[in-house]
Amino acid sequence: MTYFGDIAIPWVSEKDTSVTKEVIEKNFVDKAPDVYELNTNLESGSYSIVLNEQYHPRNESFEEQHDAVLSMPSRHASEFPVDVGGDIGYIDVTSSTTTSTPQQEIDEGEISIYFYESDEYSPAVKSILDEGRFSNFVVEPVESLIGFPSFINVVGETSDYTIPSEDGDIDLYIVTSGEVLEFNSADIVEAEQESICRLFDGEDNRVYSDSKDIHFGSNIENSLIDITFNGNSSSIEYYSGSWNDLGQVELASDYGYASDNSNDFITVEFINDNGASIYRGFPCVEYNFEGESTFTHTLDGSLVSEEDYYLHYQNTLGDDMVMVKKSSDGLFFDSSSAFGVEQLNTSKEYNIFIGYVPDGIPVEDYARYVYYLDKTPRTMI
Amino acid sequence: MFIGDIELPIVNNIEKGGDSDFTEITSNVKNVGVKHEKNVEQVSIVGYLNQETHSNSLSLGEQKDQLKSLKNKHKSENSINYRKFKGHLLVEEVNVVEDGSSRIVKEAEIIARYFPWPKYFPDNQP
Repeated sequence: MTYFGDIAIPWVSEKDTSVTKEVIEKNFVDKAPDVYELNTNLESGSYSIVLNEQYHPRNESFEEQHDAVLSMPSRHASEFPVDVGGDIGYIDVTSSTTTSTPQQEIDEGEISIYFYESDEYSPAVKSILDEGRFSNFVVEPVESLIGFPSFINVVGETSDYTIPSEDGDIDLYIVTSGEVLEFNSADIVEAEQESICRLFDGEDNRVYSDSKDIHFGSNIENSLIDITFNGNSSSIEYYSGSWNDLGQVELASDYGYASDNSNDFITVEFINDNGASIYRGFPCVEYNFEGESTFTHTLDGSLVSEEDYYLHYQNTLGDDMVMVKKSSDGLFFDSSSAFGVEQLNTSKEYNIFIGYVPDGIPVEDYARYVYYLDKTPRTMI
Repeated sequence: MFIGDIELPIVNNIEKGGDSDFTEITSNVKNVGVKHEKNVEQVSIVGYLNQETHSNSLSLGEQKDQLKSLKNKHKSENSINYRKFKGHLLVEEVNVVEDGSSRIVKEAEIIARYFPWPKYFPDNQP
């Protein structure tokens, strides 16, 4: 079994990569010819792979395995740490093909790759905080969080918080805009397997790509929060040592797909223009919607405080929740069984976050981290 | 398998692939690669035309004409819902092998761009 990050491939049947170096030969009228060396190119080539339903660690169907392979070109190299055939590093997949033959028990595929050796290259994430969001409210200082499983070493940084997830502890690092966090671990493959964002299509099939359809019962989770889309509403669960119910959000969903599907964030969009996003290491969900005058989170609980951009409330277990809005439109409302925002403009699109506040993080700080939460691009350095 | 209302009676294999353009940037320190956005996926479907297995028992000639007409149709008309495919095809090539080896079966290949639903044409469910 070979793992490319979190994608398991039953067999790699052939590996054909090579390193090339360009040279330029010049002839001169007044001296002997000379040859000049250019930099060595990245190692590149192809892997031939075999897919099989019986020999897969998660018993994934052909459909899931094909989707996983075909998703590889749209994902970043840092999501594909590999330890195969003596090569330890990261692969950047530039093309992938799969061939299915209905009558056969195995399917085949091929991926074209560029290879980054792990002793020369390290993955990193960059914090980019959207400047356009700053104008609605004065929220300072401008900071957010980036999370990694605790066994990952973030070079030159000390974590600010540690929270439990279903896959193990997660370290959270406070970041400002533009900050780059380089990370490594003793097991580079495992680093992309724990506490990542995952999408399922409603029939327990994992969806890896940014194009496959999802439907009633689909869910997104990051081992801290789990959102299931039930048609007229979505139900939320959060992890704090065990999974707990976090009520429902009264937003309709139907058929949809993931417009972003990476280990660090997933955004699902539905035909009715509603959608939701989750982020790695963050126990919160971002809903985006339009055509609604009211956003309602149905939950038995009580209000603690209301600020201009967030609502702080508690469920019946006494756990802290926040609802954060980016727009100055709308007014927060609360009752003993529902919290939300009303008087929204039905012709506008809105983003509203619901988050569970882990123990040890001040609620006011957490709301601020959520306000500036944004997608973090990856890079290799 | 149907593409729109046109039938390919026997499917032998399907190849699907996606790619992204890649630019390698060389520097004095070390090389880095920049990957661009993923292109629209390409699909190759190989199958057979056969009168007995066609649901309307069309002759090989009629089936061939129908299959070739896929090229002239807009992708929104070429819907597909077969195994892992649910979307629409922009058919670029239809090749029917005319080698005279059989009067009962003809091999055909369709090369197309695949537009998955509901990412594309969300109001037109296959």
